[in-house]
Amino acid sequence: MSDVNGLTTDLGERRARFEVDESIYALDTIQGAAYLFLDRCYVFLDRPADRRVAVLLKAKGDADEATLEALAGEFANELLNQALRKAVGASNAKIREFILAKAFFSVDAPSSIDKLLAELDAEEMEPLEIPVPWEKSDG
Amino acid sequence: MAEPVRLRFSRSLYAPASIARAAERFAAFGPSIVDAEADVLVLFSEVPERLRDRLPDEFSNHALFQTIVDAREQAPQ
Amino acid sequence: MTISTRLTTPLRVDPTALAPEVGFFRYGVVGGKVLLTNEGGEFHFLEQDRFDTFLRGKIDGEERVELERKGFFKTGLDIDRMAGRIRRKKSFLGGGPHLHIVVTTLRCNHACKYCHASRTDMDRVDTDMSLATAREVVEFAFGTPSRVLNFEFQGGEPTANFAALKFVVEHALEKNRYEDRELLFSLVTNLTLMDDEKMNFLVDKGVMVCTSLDGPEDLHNKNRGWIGKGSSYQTVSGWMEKFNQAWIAKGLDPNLFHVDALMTCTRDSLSRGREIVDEYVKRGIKSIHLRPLNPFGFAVNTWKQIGYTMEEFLAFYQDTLDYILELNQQGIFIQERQAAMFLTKMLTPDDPNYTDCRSPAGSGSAQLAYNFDGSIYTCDEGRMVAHMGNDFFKLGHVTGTAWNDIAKHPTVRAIAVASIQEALPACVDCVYKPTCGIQPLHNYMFDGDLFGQRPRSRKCQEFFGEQADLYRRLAEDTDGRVEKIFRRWTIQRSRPGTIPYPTEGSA
Repeated sequence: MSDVNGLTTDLGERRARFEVDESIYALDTIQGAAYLFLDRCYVFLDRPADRRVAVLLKAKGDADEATLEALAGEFANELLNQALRKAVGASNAKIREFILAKAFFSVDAPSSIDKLLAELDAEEMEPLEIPVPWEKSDG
Repeated sequence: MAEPVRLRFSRSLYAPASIARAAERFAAFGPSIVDAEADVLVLFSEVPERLRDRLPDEFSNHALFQTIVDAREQAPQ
Repeated sequence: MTISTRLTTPLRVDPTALAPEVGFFRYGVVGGKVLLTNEGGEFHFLEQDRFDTFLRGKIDGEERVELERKGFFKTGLDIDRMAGRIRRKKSFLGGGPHLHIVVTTLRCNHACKYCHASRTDMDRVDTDMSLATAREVVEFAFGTPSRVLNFEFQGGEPTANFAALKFVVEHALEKNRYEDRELLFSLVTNLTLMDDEKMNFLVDKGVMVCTSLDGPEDLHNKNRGWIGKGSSYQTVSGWMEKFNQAWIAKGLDPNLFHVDALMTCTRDSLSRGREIVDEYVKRGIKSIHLRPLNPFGFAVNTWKQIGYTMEEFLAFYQDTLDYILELNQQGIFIQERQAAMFLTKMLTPDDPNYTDCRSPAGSGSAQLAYNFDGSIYTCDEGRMVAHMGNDFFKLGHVTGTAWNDIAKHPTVRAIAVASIQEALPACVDCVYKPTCGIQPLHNYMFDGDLFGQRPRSRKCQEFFGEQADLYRRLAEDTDGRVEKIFRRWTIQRSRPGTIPYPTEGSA
């Protein structure tokens, strides 16, 4: 057992296992980190208890303890980065929707930003709906 | 006849539909899917001896990949 | 120095430190600094110890003003400007197909080791495009909405059926008297079937010529097996010179009117990047595209001899780009084309609309490929997949298929959906997302899955590595000399002398 970037990590033959608290790192954050490791190692997720996700990283070939610790450390670090990206996304979701609407749907009327954000909230609009106007309309 | 290779996935972490899609890609190994309460079980009945150790790892990665891709596609941006 | 192609971020961050006034950004570590990018195509380098200060909203002074101007803070955000930049970056969405690849024949007199075009032997005239089909190709292309129509002739060796090529050019020029599109013609040829008559026609009609030149003679001939003849290199060299002189004789600017060349990197090329560049410079060619080999087509069988890992290619790319920049600093202008494409995205408000590196991808929407028999495909790779027995990328036929059928075709829609970065894990978070693109056909050909952009697909490795290298050079460019060269590479010059329609008395 060792502490790798705050996660208690169990090192075995070719594998490193640790548990993540889902109330700290949401599942999509864990998945976001896991995805980046799929080419390098085998990644297994399990649920040992409610709100706990066990992450098992298994090396594709031989790996010594230092390598496994480094792998686990990198995963733990990536969890932080994924969490930051999620926070940036959440903090900017509405303004991004507004900007993209303005970019692609030509919102013309000048108005205060608060009013327009409120209008967006009221709309049921799918984000990033990119139109394909090169289809001829007579078809 | 050799014992099937068995894998268990928590349905709270791996989407059953995504596991099924992943299993289609591994059709050559004779997959069958059993829905248990909290888990999805995948059994492979036609696995050559030389692949018995590796198949669970490769399939698990693929199932996770498919789960994440499907979730991303459906997620609000 | 190796190009770091890691996808994870080697930066310890505190997600709880994020201040509410910080705007939207993506980030990564490049050249020892933190690179920020955003949807408007802006980028900024921060020293690593400043990143936390930025997250906490505590950056002030000139750097704060600069970050606000670029849209990395909500405070001071010019929404109209940001929206305008995004709209401009995606302006290709309204265009329709501008690139029309016309395969005049599958016949070819070469057997290049890496060919991934379907090809047949020179006696297979049944794989020539008929003039009737050529007419339908032109009619179909003019039925698509793009203001620009670029007919690009490919094969096989397209000049093996010069009659069809000639017909397409003449019919398109005639039709354009009434349509007034911007017409461009380009020919991708090995030049070994060229003669004076063909050359005069091509020069007269403004057909730009692009050939393959893999490097010095021994390397070029080793890669490109000319069946039953002598030196492919000698023939290519001779015709390149003749074409260039013919354009000069017409009074056209040789900087704009000259034979372009493409090289394909094989294992033998990896140690000879500088020689290859010298070969191009010697001929006055201003642009070289360092293209990696794809394990498609013939290359599947020859991979063990000519293939390499993407890490090996990126090392070659970096070393050769070092040399290209050295030459530029000595006053010898030569650009690397892939770099120029990425740099246009990085350093200008525009997108060069390179169909294989955009989101959504351009296969089927920005380009179409017409096979010799009139079948329409999403792109040349789609045609190759069909040759291997899979018609998934076939969209229809020039007779019986309307443009709207193509635009609404499920395969075209699938390609578009599969290449929207916002819907792809890893791509959505990648610091290079604003300047990158997806080519789903590569995923399909490697993994059998249009939608699966694997974390380390070969294309991802290539694009990631190249962008990392370019941004690293910018990060390390303390005196601005490299950026100055890079900006020159982004300048597009049109060819003012291109003849839009036949002149009086011409053939």
